[in-house]
Amino acid sequence: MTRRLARSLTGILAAALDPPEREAVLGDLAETSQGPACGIRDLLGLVARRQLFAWKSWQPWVVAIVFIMPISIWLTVLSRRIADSNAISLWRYSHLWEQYDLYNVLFYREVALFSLDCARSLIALACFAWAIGFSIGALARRTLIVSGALFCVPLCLTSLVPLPSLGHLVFAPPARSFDHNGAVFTQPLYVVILPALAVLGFALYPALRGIAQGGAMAQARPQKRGLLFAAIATTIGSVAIRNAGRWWPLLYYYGILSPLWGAQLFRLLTLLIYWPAVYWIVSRLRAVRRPRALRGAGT
Amino acid sequence: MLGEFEYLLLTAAVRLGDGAYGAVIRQEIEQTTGRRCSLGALYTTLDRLETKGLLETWMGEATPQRGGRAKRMVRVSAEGIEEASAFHEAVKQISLGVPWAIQQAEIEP
Repeated sequence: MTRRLARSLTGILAAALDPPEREAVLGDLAETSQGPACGIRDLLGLVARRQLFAWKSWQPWVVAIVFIMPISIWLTVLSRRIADSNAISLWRYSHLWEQYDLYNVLFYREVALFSLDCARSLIALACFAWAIGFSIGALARRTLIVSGALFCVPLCLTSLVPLPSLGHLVFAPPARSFDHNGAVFTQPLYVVILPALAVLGFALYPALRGIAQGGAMAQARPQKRGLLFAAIATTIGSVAIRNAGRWWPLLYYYGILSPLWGAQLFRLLTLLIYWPAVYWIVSRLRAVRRPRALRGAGT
Repeated sequence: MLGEFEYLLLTAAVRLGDGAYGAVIRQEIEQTTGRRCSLGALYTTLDRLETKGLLETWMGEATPQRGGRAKRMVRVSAEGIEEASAFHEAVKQISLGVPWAIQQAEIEP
């Protein structure tokens, strides 16, 4: 058990190193046959030095301040918004139903439509979080551990503590308003637990997977890399434009983005948010088929 | 001018010759100095010395005792030898006349 834990810890730490260095270091550790604790301490020291060294240049700071931290807070706001809007319907269906509704086909249809819409919004959130994680992994490959922490810590903290409202008209994220739905949001399930589940399960977990896959992208073919980055930029851009009015109400007030929202092409572009789900399914299918093919070749 | 650990690393690599790579250099330094040499210090110093052009590294062969993983082989360049000689000379010069150097000279035939 301890050995397995040590092996997984070693694997996680070694993943932060460049592939040739990882190969040499893991070989050295195997050869010197130290105890697992010594190996982990050595590896931790090397990874810490590498990460700290990378922060001596200005690029990781720019990526962290301009991209990672703001997008982490943005993702929390989106997660909460999705959780809150679904909470209202969930509360309605769980509290306001009557016996008569059980014999009403329309009631079941409404519940089914709500469930579908809820699933769609959570899948979209997971896809968006994965795309963000992937871009962080690819942009901050050398500072992956610290950059990942800079992304995850605000994401977790802001899901537990209330965010301040930083103004009204020019920049208005992201205090939650429960004025019209007090009955729903007096209950901890709807105000704390559901948003925390949305953040942890549908934002943090896919983002972590994305960070790991984005970090490994340096070894992919240039065509594949280019295609993935273009798709990710389109996804993040379309979500940003669609939500810009909520963050900067002046854009909404003067109708600057309205023509874009109405455009048919833009509506099609927003469908792109679901592509990570397709990518993930295809990758999984390939991963399942590959060992089968290898087994077939071996026999 | 080299640092103390840089000098130790270059000297260990020269002593080991063609068989110099991460794990054995580390072992050599630890045995000679009696101090622990961390993997982090070793690999970051290797990188620094390679950037300065004082040594070159390349991936060598994999062995079963390393779990089938390749070695990072090390060879000290002419510039590296020059820098290490200069460091050694500086240590010798500055040590002239100090008590521990005199005692050392008396002990050694």
